[in-house]
Amino acid sequence: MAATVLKRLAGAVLVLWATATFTFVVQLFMPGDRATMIINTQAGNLQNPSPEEIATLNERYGFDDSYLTQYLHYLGDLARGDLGVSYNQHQPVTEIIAAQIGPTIVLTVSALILAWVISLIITVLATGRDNVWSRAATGFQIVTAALPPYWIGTILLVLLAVQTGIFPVEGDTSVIGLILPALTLAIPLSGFLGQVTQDEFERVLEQPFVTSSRTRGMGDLGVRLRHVLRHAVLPAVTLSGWALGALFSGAVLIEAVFSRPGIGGILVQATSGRDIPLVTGVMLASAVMYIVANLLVDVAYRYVDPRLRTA
Amino acid sequence: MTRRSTVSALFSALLAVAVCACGSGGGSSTKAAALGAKQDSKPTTGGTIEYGHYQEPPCLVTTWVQTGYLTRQYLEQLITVDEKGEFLPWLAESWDISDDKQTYTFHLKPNVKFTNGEPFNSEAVKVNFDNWFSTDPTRRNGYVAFHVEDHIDKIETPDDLTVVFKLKHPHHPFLSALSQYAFGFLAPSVVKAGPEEWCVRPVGTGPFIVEKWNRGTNVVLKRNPNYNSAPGDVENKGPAYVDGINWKFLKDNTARWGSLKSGQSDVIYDIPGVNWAEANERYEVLRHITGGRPSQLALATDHAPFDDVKVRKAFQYASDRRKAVETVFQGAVPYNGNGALSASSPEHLKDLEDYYKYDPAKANQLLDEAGWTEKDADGIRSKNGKKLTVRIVYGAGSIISSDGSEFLQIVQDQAKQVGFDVQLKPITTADFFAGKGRQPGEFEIQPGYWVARSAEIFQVVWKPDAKADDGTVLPNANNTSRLQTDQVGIWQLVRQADQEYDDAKRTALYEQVQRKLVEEQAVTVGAYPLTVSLALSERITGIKLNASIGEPIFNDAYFVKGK
Amino acid sequence: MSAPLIRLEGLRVAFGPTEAVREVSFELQPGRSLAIVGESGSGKSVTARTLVGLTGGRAQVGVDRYEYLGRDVSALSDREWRKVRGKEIGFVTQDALVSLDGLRPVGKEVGEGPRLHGWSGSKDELRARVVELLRDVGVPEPELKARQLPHELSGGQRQRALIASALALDPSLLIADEPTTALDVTIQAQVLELLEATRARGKALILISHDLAVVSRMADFVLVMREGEVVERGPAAQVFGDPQHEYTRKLLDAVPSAHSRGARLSPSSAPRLAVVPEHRTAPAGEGPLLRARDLVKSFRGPDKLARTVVQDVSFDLARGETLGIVGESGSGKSTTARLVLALETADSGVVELGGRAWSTLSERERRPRRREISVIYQDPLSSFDPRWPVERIVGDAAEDAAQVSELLDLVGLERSLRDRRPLELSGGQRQRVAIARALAPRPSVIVCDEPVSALDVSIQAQVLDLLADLRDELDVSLLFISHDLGVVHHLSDRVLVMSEGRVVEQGTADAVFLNPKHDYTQRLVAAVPRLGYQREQVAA
Repeated sequence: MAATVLKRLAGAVLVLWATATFTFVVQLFMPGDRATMIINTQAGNLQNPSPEEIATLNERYGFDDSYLTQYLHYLGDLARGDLGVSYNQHQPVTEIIAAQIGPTIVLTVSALILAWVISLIITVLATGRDNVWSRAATGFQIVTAALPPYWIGTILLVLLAVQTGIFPVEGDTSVIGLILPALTLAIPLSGFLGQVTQDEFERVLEQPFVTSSRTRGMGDLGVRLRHVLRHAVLPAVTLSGWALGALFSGAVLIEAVFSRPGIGGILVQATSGRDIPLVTGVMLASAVMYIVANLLVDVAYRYVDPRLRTA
Repeated sequence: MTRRSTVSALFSALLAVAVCACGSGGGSSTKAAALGAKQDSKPTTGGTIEYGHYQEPPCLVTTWVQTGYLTRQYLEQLITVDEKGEFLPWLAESWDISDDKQTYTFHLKPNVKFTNGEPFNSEAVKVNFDNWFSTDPTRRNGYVAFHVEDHIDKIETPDDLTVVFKLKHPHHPFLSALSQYAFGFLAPSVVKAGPEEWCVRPVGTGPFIVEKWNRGTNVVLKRNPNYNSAPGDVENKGPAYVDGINWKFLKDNTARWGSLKSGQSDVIYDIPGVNWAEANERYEVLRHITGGRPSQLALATDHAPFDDVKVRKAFQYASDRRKAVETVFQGAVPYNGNGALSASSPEHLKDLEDYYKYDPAKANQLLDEAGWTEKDADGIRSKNGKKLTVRIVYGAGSIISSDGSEFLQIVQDQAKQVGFDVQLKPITTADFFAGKGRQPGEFEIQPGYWVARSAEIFQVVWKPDAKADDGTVLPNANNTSRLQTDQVGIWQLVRQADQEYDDAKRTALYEQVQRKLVEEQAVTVGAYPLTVSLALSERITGIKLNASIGEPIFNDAYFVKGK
Repeated sequence: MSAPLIRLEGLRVAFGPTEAVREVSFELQPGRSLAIVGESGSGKSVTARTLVGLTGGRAQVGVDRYEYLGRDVSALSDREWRKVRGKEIGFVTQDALVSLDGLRPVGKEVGEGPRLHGWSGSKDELRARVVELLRDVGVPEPELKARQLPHELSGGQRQRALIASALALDPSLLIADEPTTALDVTIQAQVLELLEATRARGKALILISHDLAVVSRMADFVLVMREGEVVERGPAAQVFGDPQHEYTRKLLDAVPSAHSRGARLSPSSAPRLAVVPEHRTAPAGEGPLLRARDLVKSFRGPDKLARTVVQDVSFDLARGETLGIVGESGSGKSTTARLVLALETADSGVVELGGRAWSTLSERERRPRRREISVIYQDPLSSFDPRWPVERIVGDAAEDAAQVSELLDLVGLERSLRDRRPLELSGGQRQRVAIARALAPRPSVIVCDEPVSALDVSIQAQVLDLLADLRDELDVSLLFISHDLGVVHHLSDRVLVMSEGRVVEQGTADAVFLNPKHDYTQRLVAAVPRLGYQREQVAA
């Protein structure tokens, strides 16, 4: 058990290190001079800065040092939990991210839960039944899985917020304000998870143990809920780690549509302003999210599939 | 048009219909009633204005024009300017200009305090100017430096309420520059603390105080209860009528428009093009055409093919830019055919608007004369085996909006008809600011604008390249046409005009500059000016846009009773 | 005679235009047993499922009369059937190994019936009842097993648990659909004993099976089905001892056994290709073609402990000889095959092929010689590219198109089938393609790993005949691995018996099977179900 935990921890550190190194290397190969870029985004103007200005920045950020020195400094700072100061916002990156990551986590996690609820309801009620509802539900999943969240968000915004006023139009961190953005992210994901689950559900419905349960007198809904569902969710559980990552990136767009605070706006600003410390911070935060998500998926998988516990 | 953009265009159209569908009946009567009510009412106090803005700055004090809208609410300048071009007092009560025009003396308003209690005085002015001219780029204010650094010899503070600017030479646009948004003063202690402090907790003398910046969401502005430094262009000389402003960042067009329609915002900034007509029908709409250099295409004169004035002129004639602007902006933004100056600048020459009317025949003739006579199967011209290729390099999404890109595509198509091979090279914001594609020789055309009030912009954008002591050339990146204006007699006219204090003479000189730039050199292809628009719900009135760059002014704003 | 438990008349089942069952009728008295035998597609399983109203959603079922315990059950709704299932009729479904929900403890599955039918006691009482049920069917350590998941139980234990779940509510009738398929022969014997004991306690039994030997031992009365129809019916003694229908006779002939050695299993006019001696041995002066010496192989399990799966295995295979390897699952026979094929590397020991080094070569050195040995698996589907047509699958290993055509002729695959893809072929046809592909490089040795285990008995007969013909005609050696003693006895010259990784006995096929020396072999041979009724003549 200790070995497993240690292995996991080492894996997590490796992922973080790889992410950090990747962002470091990428910024070195970006076109243009880093100091000039910082000066220009700072000014909001195009200018050819004077040598003095460039020298000041090169010294402050160590751009003149060898890449190895820069890299070691950077890793050293990271190891101490110091993500540096944003070039454009002039605030410690850890503070900026800490202030913004909460709403994003709340949004992505609620979207994931909502997606699961929608896809499970449709799957249990519709799969393997040949009627209008089941066809409509399947059609709904196929269509929604392919819809870009931005469209869904805009349509929901116009129909449910602007027109009817049931939901707030803009940035609201209350529960009611969470519904539309979470739904926006959840709908396409539920289509996707639903398709995966339905395929598996159909397959499991044909399994001998299902027939076996029926011969004991189990009814159709009972078979679906007690036996089939648990097997059928396994692929979707596995995908949920990935899904959380996809939701995280989807949140970038949706946060803008619903004017929600969150890491999305930060990332857009940071990348368009090439704010390297901030980009790195967001990437690392995403990597941590990814690691945690996969850890949770593992736990969930073990819960759903007890075979793994004994193996 | 790519499939994606077709789809999104259809989608936008669909949304426009959906959004409009609910309220098309009786729209104008609603508006008339609202305006009537507004005019009758007396100012009320209280209430918080829900203001839906567009872009969120990375820092609450930058010289970016997008931040200027916000800084106007808490930072104040020495002077301001009105629609007639008259300079009005603000933090300076009055000012004198010496006879030799080289000494500007400002008398500051007494008893003005920064909202943290520090006094506003001559020392505070000097601390701010020193900070703006700092060589530390995170402190330096590029905008201020461009406009006045070359001209100021020294700043003196003979007493607490007097600031004296000693100029190296007479510089008439000095006042015009000082009236612009980037000259707002921070409390000295905040200046000292640096950007870490002023980016999130800026302290000025303005009518509002930054209470909290919820990044990604809003800036909460509270009324400054001790406000006593109102500028000359507002009626209300005391503290603001409203309790505060909830300055929200609504990046999505649909959300911003929806926020106004659903009543969650009282005012929104930047009315989306698809909603322009409805906005004018249902709401009070404020629009400001920004002065200075409009969005124009600068033709690079330092290398082929635009080193030949005939080719430059041919390009001017090659496209119907007026129609293109009308098509793309649907009336929200006007055409600005005089590329040298925005139509809202006082010195703007109207007759240059249509100097280069769409005339493909003339364009063809000029290209023939210039020797670009060979044509390939696609109709692209070439000369001595070299194709007539021109690259338009532009900052997509920053300098040029998506509507702007559409404008460029139309120009591209039409120029192709006369034999130009126009290549569009969009560059991301970050890369563009880092200098990618903008070095001399990397582009033939660079679109761009420079926000200012008037012709004082000439000395910024047409300044010839400087030579460092060791002889290396320091190119002026703002002079995107690369025209060395001192060699064609334009720079001399600009310097002469800037030092001319006789209005008629100076205007004549600026007009001459415009004629030379447009008629003679044909280096700038006019397009459209930067336009600011606001839509106000019936609940609110008294908001105006500043005459310089159009930042919203809330000193006189109040909620209409019974709404 | 008391009233029949079941009276069924004129059962018809169709899936769309396909008639799966036509006019099946029978009666069953309480406490008696009925067997329905037939090959795949005969309609026997559909008939069984229809008896509990689980034919399947899209089936059209018609019946003239169906009474259970004197009550008309021909038109029950699903809700009503649910009250019957499990309570009045216990059903042991096919595929014992996967008929328990792998994610739930065994006890939950066994207790499901009682819970569904209104268990009146407490949870603890139900738990106790489940343990009791498991103990009754002979599951060792029932308290522990009830808490474990199905994969932690052996195959035999799983089948017992499944039977326990069907018996949980003490139904008067137990229907068992292929209850011993996929079980090792000794386990199979135990399960059959359990069913027999159940019947002895007064339960009626309907047994569905393809295995005539199993049926002959268990049934009072037999129905033989083919393509949805009952072709023969009667008391077991009559059906097996004096079959009337040609199909029944064919089925009985097709069962390989000691008696069928050297004879054809499938009806064919073609004479045997060559007259061969009863037991082939290496020609004088020639060494063995394949020589395995002291092979040892161990694997590390999930518990990190090394388990030896092959221990000191040695054997020779002469040119043209067939060496059978028999053993139950886990005996190490398949691993031995992989060692011979050099798909695994032995921990120690060597394999020589054609008198030259083989297992000790590097893969690069071995590759040019791979043609000398080829393999046929139980499930050829997994070794075929599903997108390729037959000709390409065989052509991949063959020299040219002419050889492909020749090979497919040789294995008797009709020309019309040659552009089909694997999924469009039947099991027997696929196995013919696999044999053709194995023959393509003209190997001297073919390793056959359970090549007929997935086939119906008549198809199995054809494939075994084909293998025998090819061996004799082409003079190849076969290493023939099977769990089926009858099949091995039928085909092999010599036999190795493996148990727990070791060779416990070897010798000529007759010597090993007719006069086993080792305890294990004796148990194995004793466990084989045999046709209980001797027919007067055996087809020659």
